[in-house]
Amino acid sequence: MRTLRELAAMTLLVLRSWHRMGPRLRGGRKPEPTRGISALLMRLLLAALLYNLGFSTSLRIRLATEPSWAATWAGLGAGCFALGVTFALELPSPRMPTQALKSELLELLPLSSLSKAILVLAQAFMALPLCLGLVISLHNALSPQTPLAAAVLLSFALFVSFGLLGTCLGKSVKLSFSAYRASQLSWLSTLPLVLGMLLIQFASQRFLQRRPPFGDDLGRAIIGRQTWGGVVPLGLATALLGMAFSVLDRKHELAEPVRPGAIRSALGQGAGMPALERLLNRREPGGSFQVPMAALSAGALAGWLTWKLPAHSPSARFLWNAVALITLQLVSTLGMQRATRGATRDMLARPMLGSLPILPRDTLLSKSSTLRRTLLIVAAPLALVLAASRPRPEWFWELSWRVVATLLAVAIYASAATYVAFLSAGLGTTRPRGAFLGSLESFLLTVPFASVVFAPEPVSALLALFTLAALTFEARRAALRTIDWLDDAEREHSTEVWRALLVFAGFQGAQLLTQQLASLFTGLLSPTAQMLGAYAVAAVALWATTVREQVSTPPMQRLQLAPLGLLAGALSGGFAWLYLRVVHPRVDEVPHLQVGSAAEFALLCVTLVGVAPIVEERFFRGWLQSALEGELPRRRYLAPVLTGLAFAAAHPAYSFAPVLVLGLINGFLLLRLRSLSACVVAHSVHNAIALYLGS
Amino acid sequence: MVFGMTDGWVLAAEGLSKQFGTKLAVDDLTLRLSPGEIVGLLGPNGAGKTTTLKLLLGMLRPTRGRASVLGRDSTTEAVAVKERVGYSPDEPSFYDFLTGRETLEFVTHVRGGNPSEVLQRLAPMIEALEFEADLDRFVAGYSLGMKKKLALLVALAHAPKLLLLDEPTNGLDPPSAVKIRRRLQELAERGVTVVLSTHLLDMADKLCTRVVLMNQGRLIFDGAPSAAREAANLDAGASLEDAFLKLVSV
Repeated sequence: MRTLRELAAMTLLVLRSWHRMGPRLRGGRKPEPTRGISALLMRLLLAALLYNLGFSTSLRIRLATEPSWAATWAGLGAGCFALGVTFALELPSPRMPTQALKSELLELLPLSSLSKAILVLAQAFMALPLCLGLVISLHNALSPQTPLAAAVLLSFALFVSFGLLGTCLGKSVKLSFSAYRASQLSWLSTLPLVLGMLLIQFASQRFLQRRPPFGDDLGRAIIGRQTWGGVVPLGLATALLGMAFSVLDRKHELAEPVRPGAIRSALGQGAGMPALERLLNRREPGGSFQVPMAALSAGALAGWLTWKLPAHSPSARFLWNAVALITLQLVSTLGMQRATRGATRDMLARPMLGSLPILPRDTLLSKSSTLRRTLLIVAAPLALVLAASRPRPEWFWELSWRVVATLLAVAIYASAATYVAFLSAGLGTTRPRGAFLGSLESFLLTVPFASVVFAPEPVSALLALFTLAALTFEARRAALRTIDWLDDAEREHSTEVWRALLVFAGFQGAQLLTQQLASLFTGLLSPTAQMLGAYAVAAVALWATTVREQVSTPPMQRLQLAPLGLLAGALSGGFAWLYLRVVHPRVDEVPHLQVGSAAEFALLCVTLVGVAPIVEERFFRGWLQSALEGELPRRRYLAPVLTGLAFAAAHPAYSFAPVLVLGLINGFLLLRLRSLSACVVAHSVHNAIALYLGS
Repeated sequence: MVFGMTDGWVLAAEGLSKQFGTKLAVDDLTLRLSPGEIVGLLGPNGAGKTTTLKLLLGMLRPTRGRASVLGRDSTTEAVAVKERVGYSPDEPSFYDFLTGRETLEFVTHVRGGNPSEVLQRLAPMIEALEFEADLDRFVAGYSLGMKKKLALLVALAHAPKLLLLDEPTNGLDPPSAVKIRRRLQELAERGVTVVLSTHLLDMADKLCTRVVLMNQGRLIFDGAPSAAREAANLDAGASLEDAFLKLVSV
C-alpha cells in the first residue's frame, strides 16, 4: 500500500514539475492556454537535442585515432553533465517556485530514500538522453556484434552513478553550511555542467588525445568492446553512492529555508534603483559569482580558440561560430535567469512598490539597464576574436561587423529578457527558467538573437536586429500592461499580439522538434521528406491554435481581389530571383532541394504552393497584423512592418530579404484592401517562383 | 484647480466607484476629511475597505468619480499622491533580501529624503515596537507581525500629513498594538489625518474620532462612534459592535 502511495505521489510530483503547473496547483491565476503544451514540447525538444548531441559527438569519435580514449573523455563529460544537474537540484533555493522538486519539498515528504533518489534522477532526466545517444551510437558503430541491451545498461549506469555522486555532494554541502549559504553555493553546479559540455564537444579533438585519468577502460566499455567491464564498476559505484545518499538523507535535518543572521546595511550611502538592483542580484543565490565566472570563462574560451583555431579554420565564419556559440549560451541563460529573478522579486514586493512614487516604466528601465551592463560584461570578451585578424588580415572586416552586431543584439536582448520576464512572472505563463530553450517566451527571443549572432552576411544581421528590436518593443508594451494589471485587476492583462507571438514560437518549436526527431530516421526518410513532415506537423499546430486562440474574426475575404495577388506575388518573386541571382553574395548557402520521386515533388508543390500560403497568411496577416492594427490604432502603418519582420524571421536566413519583401507587400495589401485572398495568392505565386529557383 | 484643496479638506472623494468585472466593489462613495481626524473604515469582509484605500492612494483607477488627496488628484497625479501619503497594506511584502533598515533607506531614497534623518526620527517608534534587533535581518525571515511593524515604519518614514492604514494591528502582539494606538493619537494631535480600516471594533471605538461604515461597497454610516449608537437606536452604554451589527443587518 505504502509503495503504491509513494508511486502515486512521485508520479504527481514529476508531472507537476514537467508541466510547471505551479500556479494552477496553488490555486492562482488561470494559466495561459499554451502553457502545458509548451512546457511538455520544450522538454521533449530538449531531450531530443541532447540525444542528438550525444549522437553527433559519437560521429566524430569514430574517426578519432584512439576512439577508446576519446570515448572515455566523452563519457566523463556526459557524467559531469549529470553530476552538475543533480547537484543543482539538491541545493535549496529560497525562491524558485517553479522548481517543484527542490530539496525542501522532497525532505518534507515521507518518502523512502530510494524514492527520493529516483525523483532526483527523474528531474535530471536531460542527462540520460545524452548518455544514451553517445553510448548506443558508438556501440552500434564500433562493435555491432555485442548486444544493444548492454549498451543501454551502461548508459543507465553512467547516468545513475554520476547523478548520485552529484546528489551526495549536494547533500554534503547542505550539511556543512546553513541553508542560505548552501543556496548561494548553487553556482558551483555550473562548473561540472560547463566542463561536461566542453569535454563532450572536444572529446575527439587532438589536444585531448592523452591518456585519461582512468585509463581507457570506460572508453572501451562505451565503444562496446568491454561493456561489462564498465557496467560492473559503475554498478558498484552506484550501490556505494546509494548507501551514502541514504545515510546523508537520514542525517540531514531541514533547516529553516532562509534565516540568516544580522547583515550590515549596504544601502546607506545611496540607493538609486540600479544600485538596489545590483545589491539584490548579488544577494540572490550565486549572484556574486555568476557574472565574473561567466565573463572569465567566456574570455578564456574566446582567447584560447582565437589563439588555436585560425590555423585550422577554413573561414572567419567558422572561427566566429565556434567562439560565439558559448557566449550566446551564457548570455541567454544568464540573461533570462537574472531577468526572471528580478521580475519575480518585484512581483512579490508589489504591495510595497505599488504604494511608492515609482512609475512601472522606471522600474523596467532600471532593471533592463542593469541587465544590459551585466550581459555586455559577459559578451565583451568576444572582441578578443579580433586578434585573429593579425595572422589573417582579410578576416578583419567580417569579424568586426560580427562583434558589433552581436554586442548590439546583446544590449537589445537584455531589455527584451527583462520585459518578457515581467510578462511571464506577472501573467503566470510559461516561466523562462534560464534554460537555453526554457520556454516559449525565451525561445521567441533566442531565434532572432541567434540569427544576429550567426548571420550569413551584414544585411541579414541588420534585419534580425530590427526583428529583435520589434519584439522588444511589443514585449515592453505587454509588460507595462501586466504591471498595471497586477495593481488593478480590472485593466486588461494580456495583449492579443503577445498571445499570437507565443503561438508563433510554438509553431517554430514544433517545427524544430519534429525535424530533430525526423533526423533520427535519416536512413528511412529523405531530407525533403523530413522537412515536409516537420512542416506539416507544425502547420497543423499553427492552424489549430490560430483558429482556437484568435479573439477577433479574420478580415473579410474578397475573392474578386485575388488577381491583384498574382501581380504582387510576381513582384516579390521577381525580387527573390534578383536577390538570389544578383545581390546575394553566398548563393552556395542556398540548399538545393533533392526530390527523390514524382510523388515527393507533388507533395512539395502542394505544401509550398497550397498549404503554406493559407496557414501562414491566416496567422501572420489574419491574426498577428490585425491584432497589431487593433492595438496601434494611431500607428497602423507599423503593423505590416512589424508583421513582415516576424514573418521574415520565421524563414531561413538566406531568404530573409525576399520574404521580408513579400511580407511587406502582403501587409500593405491587407491594410488597403482588407482581403486575405489576395495575400494568399501572392504568397502562392512567390513560393512557386522560389520552388522553381530552388530546384 | 484641484477641487477639495480650496475647502481645506485633507481628503475629498466625490462619487468614487470601482467595478471589478460585474462586482461593484465601491459604490458612489463621497467622503471629506479634515486635518487631525482619526477615521475608522469599518465593514464586513468584502465591504470595499481595502479597495477604497487603494483608490485614494492612486493604486487603483476609479471606474467613476474622483478623489483629491492633499490637494492632488489621485487618478491623474498618482505619483504625487504616493509621494505625500503614508500607506501600510493589509498583507505587506518587501524585497526578501533587503534588511528592514535597508528597506527604510530605499523607501526614503525613492521619496527623496535623507535616510539617517529618517532613522533618527523613527528611533522612538522602533524602540517602542522593540524592533531594533530585527531591523538588521533579511525581511525573508520576518513573521507577519514583524512585516506589519516594518510596513508601519515605511508609512511613517516621510512624516506624511495623511496616513492610510489597512488593518494596521493585524498580527501584532497586544503591547505593540497599544503602543501603535498611542502613537497614532499623538500624530493626530499634531494635525496628521489617519484613515484606518479595521475589524477590531473595540480599537476603533477607543481610537477613532469618526467611523465610516461600509457594506457591499456602499457607505451606510459616517459620523462619531457615539452617533453610530444613536443611528442604530442603542443607548450610550451599548458597544460599537452592537451598533455595527445592527447597522449592517439593515
